Amino acid sequence: MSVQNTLKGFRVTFRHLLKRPETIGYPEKKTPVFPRFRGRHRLWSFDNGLEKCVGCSLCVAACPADCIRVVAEENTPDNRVSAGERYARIYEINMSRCIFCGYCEIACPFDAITLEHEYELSEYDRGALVYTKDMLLAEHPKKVPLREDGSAASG
Amino acid sequence: MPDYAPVDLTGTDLVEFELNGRTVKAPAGTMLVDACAANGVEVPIFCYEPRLGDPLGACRQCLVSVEGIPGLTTACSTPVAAEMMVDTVSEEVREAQDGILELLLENHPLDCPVCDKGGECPLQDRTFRFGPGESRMVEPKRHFPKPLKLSPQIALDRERCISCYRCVRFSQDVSEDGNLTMSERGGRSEITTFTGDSYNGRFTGNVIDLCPVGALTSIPYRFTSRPWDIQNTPSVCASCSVGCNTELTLREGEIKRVQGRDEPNWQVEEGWLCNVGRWGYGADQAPQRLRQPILRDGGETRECSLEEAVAAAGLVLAHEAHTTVLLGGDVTVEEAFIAKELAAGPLPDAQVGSAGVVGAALGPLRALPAAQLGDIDGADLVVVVGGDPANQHPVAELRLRKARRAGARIVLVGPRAQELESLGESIRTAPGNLAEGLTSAVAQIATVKRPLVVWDELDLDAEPDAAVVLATALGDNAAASQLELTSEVNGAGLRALGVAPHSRLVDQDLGGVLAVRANPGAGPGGDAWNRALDSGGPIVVIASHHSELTERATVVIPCSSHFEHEGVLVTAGQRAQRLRPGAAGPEQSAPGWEILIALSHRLGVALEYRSPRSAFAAATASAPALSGLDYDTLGDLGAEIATSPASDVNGAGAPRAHDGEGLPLVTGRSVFGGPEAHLSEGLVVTATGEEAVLHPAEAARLNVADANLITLNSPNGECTVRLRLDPGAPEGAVFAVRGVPGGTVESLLAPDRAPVNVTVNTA
Amino acid sequence: MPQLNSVYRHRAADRVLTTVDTYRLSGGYLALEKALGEMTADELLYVFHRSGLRGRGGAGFPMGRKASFLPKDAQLAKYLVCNADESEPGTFKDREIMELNPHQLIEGMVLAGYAIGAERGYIYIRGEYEYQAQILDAAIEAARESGYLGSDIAGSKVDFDLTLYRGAGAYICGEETGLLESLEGKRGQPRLKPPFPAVKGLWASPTLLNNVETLAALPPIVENGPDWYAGMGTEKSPGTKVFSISGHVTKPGNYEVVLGDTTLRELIFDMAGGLREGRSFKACWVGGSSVPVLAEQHLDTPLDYESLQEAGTFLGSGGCIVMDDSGCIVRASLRLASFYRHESCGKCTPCREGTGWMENVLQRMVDGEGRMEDFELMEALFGRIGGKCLCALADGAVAPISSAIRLFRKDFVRVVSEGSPLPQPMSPQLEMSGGRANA
Repeated sequence: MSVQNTLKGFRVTFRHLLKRPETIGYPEKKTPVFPRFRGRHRLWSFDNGLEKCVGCSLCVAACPADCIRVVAEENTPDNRVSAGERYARIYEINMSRCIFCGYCEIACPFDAITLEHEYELSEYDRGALVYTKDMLLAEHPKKVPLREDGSAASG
Repeated sequence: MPDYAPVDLTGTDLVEFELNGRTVKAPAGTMLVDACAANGVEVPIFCYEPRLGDPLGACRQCLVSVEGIPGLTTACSTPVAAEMMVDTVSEEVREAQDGILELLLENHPLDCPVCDKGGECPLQDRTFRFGPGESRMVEPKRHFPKPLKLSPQIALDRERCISCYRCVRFSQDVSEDGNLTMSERGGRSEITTFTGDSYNGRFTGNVIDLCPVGALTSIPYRFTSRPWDIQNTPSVCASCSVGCNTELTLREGEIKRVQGRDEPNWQVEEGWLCNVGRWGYGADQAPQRLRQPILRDGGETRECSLEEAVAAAGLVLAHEAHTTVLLGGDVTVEEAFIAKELAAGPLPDAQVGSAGVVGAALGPLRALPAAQLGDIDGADLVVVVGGDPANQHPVAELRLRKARRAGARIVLVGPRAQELESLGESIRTAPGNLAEGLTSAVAQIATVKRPLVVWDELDLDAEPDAAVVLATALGDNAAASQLELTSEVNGAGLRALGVAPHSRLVDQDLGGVLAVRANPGAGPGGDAWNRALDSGGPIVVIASHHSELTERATVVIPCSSHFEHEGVLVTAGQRAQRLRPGAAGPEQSAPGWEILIALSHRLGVALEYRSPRSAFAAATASAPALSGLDYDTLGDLGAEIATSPASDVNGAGAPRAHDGEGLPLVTGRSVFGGPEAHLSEGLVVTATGEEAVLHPAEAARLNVADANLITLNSPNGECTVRLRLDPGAPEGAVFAVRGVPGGTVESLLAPDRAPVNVTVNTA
Repeated sequence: MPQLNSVYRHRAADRVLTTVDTYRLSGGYLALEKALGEMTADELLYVFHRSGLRGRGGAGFPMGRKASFLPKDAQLAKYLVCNADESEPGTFKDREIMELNPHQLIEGMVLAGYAIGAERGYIYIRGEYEYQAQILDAAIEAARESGYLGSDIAGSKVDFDLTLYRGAGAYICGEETGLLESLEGKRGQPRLKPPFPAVKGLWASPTLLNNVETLAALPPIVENGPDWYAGMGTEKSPGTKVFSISGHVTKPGNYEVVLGDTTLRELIFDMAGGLREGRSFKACWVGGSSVPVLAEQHLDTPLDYESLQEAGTFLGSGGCIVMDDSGCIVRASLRLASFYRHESCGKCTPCREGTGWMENVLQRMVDGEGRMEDFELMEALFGRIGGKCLCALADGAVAPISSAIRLFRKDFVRVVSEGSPLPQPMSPQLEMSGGRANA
């Protein structure tokens, strides 16, 4: 009796021994995310190099965490930065305050800001969490795998 | 900007009419838009502006239906009548208002994210409330190159213009410079200047406030802020003694904009500002701004902290045998009061004086009923005695023009040529002859129903006999009132506190000097002052900007500018008004009152005021003229202080003799050439300079030529200045512009501004 | 069609009457001498009133009634202004009077001026009428020399003088308040009414404003008596009217008819010689371009104010533009829309923006890019523009186009549904840009 019950118990254990583990070997392996996952922000430029952002500050108005700072300036013929009349001289996001709600992306009338997939945003220094415009405009260095559609996460 | 005129629903001349099915009241003859607004019904408008005179009826946005009038009618041009039946919400009206908005937006660019007006734009707001959800236009919109510089301070975006004519009407009918106009026709209409030149003037900035879209925007403010990341603070302009009510816009710790309030002070500025009031805030960010306390020890000059500076100030002043407190003309009532307390207590054997006018013979005039600027509107005769309101008290000019349009007779009597002379009868008097020149005006004052005299403090101080004549004439007509245009911003406040002018101190041993916003070396009798200051003890300066005095000072303590601190100024019409801090100011600066309190601690007798509010309360308790006032009664719009009791002239009413040889000197100041105008980045291009003006015949006699540098010599000093010949200038006198930073005209004057003669030579 | 004894002396005499002598030979200035010598101002005013003369500029308001609106006890000087800014497309009746018979206008103005108590009159002539302005200038000078203008006219102690003022080519200055603004030296734009010019007109003084044809009709009325004039025409539309016929007729020109006696068909086919060989009637704008268009079914309408109104249009200025079947109604509508876009003064939003939008939509149709939903859009636009403005220019812009779409919808639908651009007309469309914009 007891042996039977013991084996019954081990059956569950052995069955799981044959399965691939659910645990992901982070940080060697990245957790895949859904396509609409909201991670690190990215500012976009047109193909001709002009920034899409015109410094309108609508993202600032929409931001519930008050983590965006925009200081705009006027484009001049010698220094044309954006496609509109104005551009953002300073565009900063304080990542330590951001709640990744995505409202900035929704508010943007020029599709200049989007939330991308990168989520590894830890820093040793608080100051480094204030992302400048150059950082936001640059292509993200780390690639995050996408979760296959509808499937559960698997390593 | 006020969208609708204020309507008094408490009067006795009300009529009843029906508004959207409900019976409401309004004074007969009120325009429907205003009557509806007063009764809580908004009728959308664009071209209507209560301060621009007769309605224009151009935008057609305010179409409403009135029973008995076929079709729809514009509510801005239809006066209310008894038993009128008005509908502002019917389907027909809604469709019409929606239709106008669709047409207005037809060619209006949808660049709201870029436009400075976006977020505080009447066109945006009204489109949301009354307008179409979407446009049916598929064709390309009208395009113009943009933006154009309408003036060095105003950008014009012709695509956004909805041809409401507000700016044009302001230029034609309010400031009456007539320079803005509409050129071309129909859809190609565009705002331009009549001459094709830059739109320059004293009040041009108001068109920015008036513009209901982003067609006219301020270049200094351009793209610096958005309406949701700013804080607005109601305050008062301290550029001249008119005391216009302003709204300060703060962003990222700096004042970014000054504009007229949404709810203007109808008794003072009516929402209009002059260009210096509007763009003078730039002086706060100028390189001349004091940002760090300075200590001078022997030959060594070093920067220090605020605490260190106050400690050093206490130390140097405490060791003096006697001290002098010099107050500027723009110190607040609180600062002056605390300074007085300091002088009465901890400062060793102190005497107090302020930049101001002695005005020994002005008492009887000041004791007469005081008028507010707003009272000029209702006068039937306005006599302007002396001064140059257009340049010295700019917004007063708009009131005078308004009164003239309303049919009032304007009489100007004074020693200088001025731009307002075309407003009415102008009597140019030779220096010393003002009393005689007043004869015709005095006769007219006796015969009209509501005479009002606007008088200049300096000019009547120079000619006391005229002040006596004027006071007598006004006293004889019970309906007469007087409005003093003081030379100092807070001159009336300092007088109410009993602070005497400091000119009597110049010949004495000053001892240790504490100067609060004062710079006597740049004022009248500057040379004498500098000699006195150099021979005296240590100088402690509390100031917001660098000056000759800060260069001489032992301790320099940076204080807040008037955009950055709280306090009360008593401006024209004896009106006490509150300054409110719009920004914090440089890190190493503090409000003047706070520095003075800290100084009292260092001097060993601590004054117990913890805020300007409590200091003002103590001031009102000690000064009878201020009694009954507190911060709450002053509120946003201020209140009149008590008129000073009549005093005897005691022989001071005799004419004052001119000192020195040569021609009598007449000076004038222009706020458009004052420190704000020269220090502010946005204004410096249009800032006026120092000059002397002579009649060509006089110049020929003196053998000096136009546009050359000339030297003027008076018993008080010498000055070199460029000469301009003007056939409109009076003969037999030299006119000179003073008050320009770095200028030397002031040195010709005596410390007490006694009249002087000057000799003129080619430099 | 009865033979007419014309109201205008050059027509009755069939000769040019530009000098004082020729004009007097044909009976001119007799009315002036009679009226100034024998009649009081009030009597004269009553004569105008009784004649039933209606304003010939377009609105058809009774002239005598308009003159009686001027306040009798006004402190300010009164003015008489003659509207010679004949800029309605298709209208050239005033031009004929000024060119061939200027003294009848001058005489009429002296009479009207005397009746209302004005001592100063202005003739505001359109900028394009340079030749006519020269003739008028000479005629005014001659009349002054002959004592018919100036002080103490014809020994009657009456003073009246005339000034000719040339416009700068703006249609809107034909609108009475726009004209007054322009005359004052301002930008020609209509004023808010009330106050009407009769109360607050030129230089804010009481002002009577009338058309050339109206004022020129006054001397014969005074000479022959008001009942003579009232006896012609219908009860509500007395007197005669000059129609200017242009377009696809063989004998274009000015034709004077007794109101109500003649039909549109008689005017076009009998008087103006009918259409060209082999062509059939398509459309007609009977009162200038600012009135609804008429089609073939309206040809038998009598020419008077009331009958034309019943037919859905207005008598207007009498500038009758005829189009035969070689014309394209869509292109014609576009041409009119371009005109109104160009001439809109820009004061009122609906007109400034709406006329341009109408032109854009019609241009798309002509270019082959029309959509069926454009008809609905145009209907909405007509509602949003019409009746919403200060003056009648916007209504005048809507009327011909809305009526064209209603009457000739088939043509419009064909153009839109075929989708291909219309062939270019034989003579290229005149470019509208580059004209003098301000008056």
